[in-house]
Amino acid sequence: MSDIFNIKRFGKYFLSDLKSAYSNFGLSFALICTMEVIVYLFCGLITMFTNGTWSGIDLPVRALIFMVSLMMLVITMPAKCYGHITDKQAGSLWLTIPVSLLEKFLSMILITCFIIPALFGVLFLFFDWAICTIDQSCGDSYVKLLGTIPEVIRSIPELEIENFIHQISNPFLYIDDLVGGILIFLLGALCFKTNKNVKTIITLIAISMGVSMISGPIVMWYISHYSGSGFEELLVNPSSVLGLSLFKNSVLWDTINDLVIMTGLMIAVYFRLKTIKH
Amino acid sequence: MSLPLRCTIRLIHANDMIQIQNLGFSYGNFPVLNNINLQLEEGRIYGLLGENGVGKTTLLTLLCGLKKPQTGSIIIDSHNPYKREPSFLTESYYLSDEVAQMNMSAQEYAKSYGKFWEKFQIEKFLEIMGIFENDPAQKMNKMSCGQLKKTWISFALACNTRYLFMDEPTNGLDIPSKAQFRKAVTKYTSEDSTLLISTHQVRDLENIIDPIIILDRQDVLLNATLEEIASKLYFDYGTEKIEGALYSELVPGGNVQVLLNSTGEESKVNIEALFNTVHLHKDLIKSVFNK
Repeated sequence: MSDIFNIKRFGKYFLSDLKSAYSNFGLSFALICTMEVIVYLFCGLITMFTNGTWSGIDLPVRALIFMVSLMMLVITMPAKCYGHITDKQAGSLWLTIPVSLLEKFLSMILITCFIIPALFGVLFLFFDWAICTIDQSCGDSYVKLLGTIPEVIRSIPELEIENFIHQISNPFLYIDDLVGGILIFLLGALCFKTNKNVKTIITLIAISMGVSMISGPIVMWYISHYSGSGFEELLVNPSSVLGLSLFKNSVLWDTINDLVIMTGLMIAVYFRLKTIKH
Repeated sequence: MSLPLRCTIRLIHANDMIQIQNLGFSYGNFPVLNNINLQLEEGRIYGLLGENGVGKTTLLTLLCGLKKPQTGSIIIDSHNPYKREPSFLTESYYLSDEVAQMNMSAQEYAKSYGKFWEKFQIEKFLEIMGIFENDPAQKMNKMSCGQLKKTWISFALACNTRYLFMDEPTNGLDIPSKAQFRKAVTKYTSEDSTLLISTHQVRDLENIIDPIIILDRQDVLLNATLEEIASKLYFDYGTEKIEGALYSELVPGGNVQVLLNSTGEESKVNIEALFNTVHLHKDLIKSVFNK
């Protein structure tokens, strides 16, 4: 049997890993997925007791709930599912399970970056659709809105500024950002022994500040060099700045940037797992 | 690797399944193990003894691949444990002193994870749990410290591995459980299994460990079978004090005295007295056993 990868062993491990993720994160996951239902019922009951009428939650509130739920998922899920690896007892057990590092890594990435977020998306959209179907006062469901996005995008005229909006309006563009975010918190969960999420957020802020200090002047220089005017031009005449190739191909650059970051983070997670000691 | 070299390594491993050579490990600037050389043979239950902080746990974690040797090497059946290859991991199990609480029942855990150890037997796990009078349906994070320890001991034995490393396995066990542990170890380990058990509670394991390894700060003071020990040291249990005894201790009903065995007379090894003797006469004992 191969010491690097064996599909049968991987399959067995993946199922056990899923089960373990369920027992570690199942309850929190159920709460996060049903957040909209909980808020809907809570708001409805409050208005019922105060005004005597049942009131639903409209799109901005639902969008806010979605963002908060998604953030909670990204921040808490990796530490809940795999944070135990830095713990001496549970981590020793995990490291000595007779499964190769590659198999453990692949299972971890599949579960945290794809399966749980996809399940979250499906369940969240389902509950949103159910609420909007039962209570018309909530407006259109996300499922219905997602169906109209291509039409909205098509209706935007092909001017530079609209082109920019056109490019960034696609919700699927943010999947790589979501995976990147999860990988950052997964790496944090594997590196820090205590206060994993707080330490990850602080590190992230520090790194972001450092990167901004380097990338900010570069972007400024790029704009002034190629548009012949300063960054303030963006406020006066956005089309001239957004017409530059950096912004014209913003989706491409963003995707390349995210893929590079994702690959880097995955390599970091792999080597962290390879070198972890207890 | 060339064929003759591989054959040579195979020949060495035929007797010594675990080869530790010039092993060194330190925590920061604090050296724990320094230039340790040990050979462990197949089918034995080794008792690893030593004072607090001499590196017993460190040695066990190095052997099971949880730590990387800083100097020297460990070869177990031609594997480097730190590589954590499945083919090695499936033949080894490490039972730590402080055991983990899992958010599932013991039986669920055994069913989910036991299958990764090729020779794991769920029936054996349930049988040992029965010997310990432990409920396999109980959630592990609801178990008492002793129950949890017994669950992990059952799991470790049910894995049927060739190498079993146990760190203070009787810590936290009540008196009947200690006897059940001895029974389980002798009944449920196969003849080709090598066990290395670290303990401070030598009396708990007195009748099952053989050979004995005594670690000192950065050194191995003794690695010998009970037969070898009995041939070189004599343990007197009489009431009269003997002049020239290496170690003497008053016990109920008489004394335990340790002397160099100059007559070849056989005696029962008292591990506690042996441990104290070795610590009092390190150089003498090393020279006697290295002859």
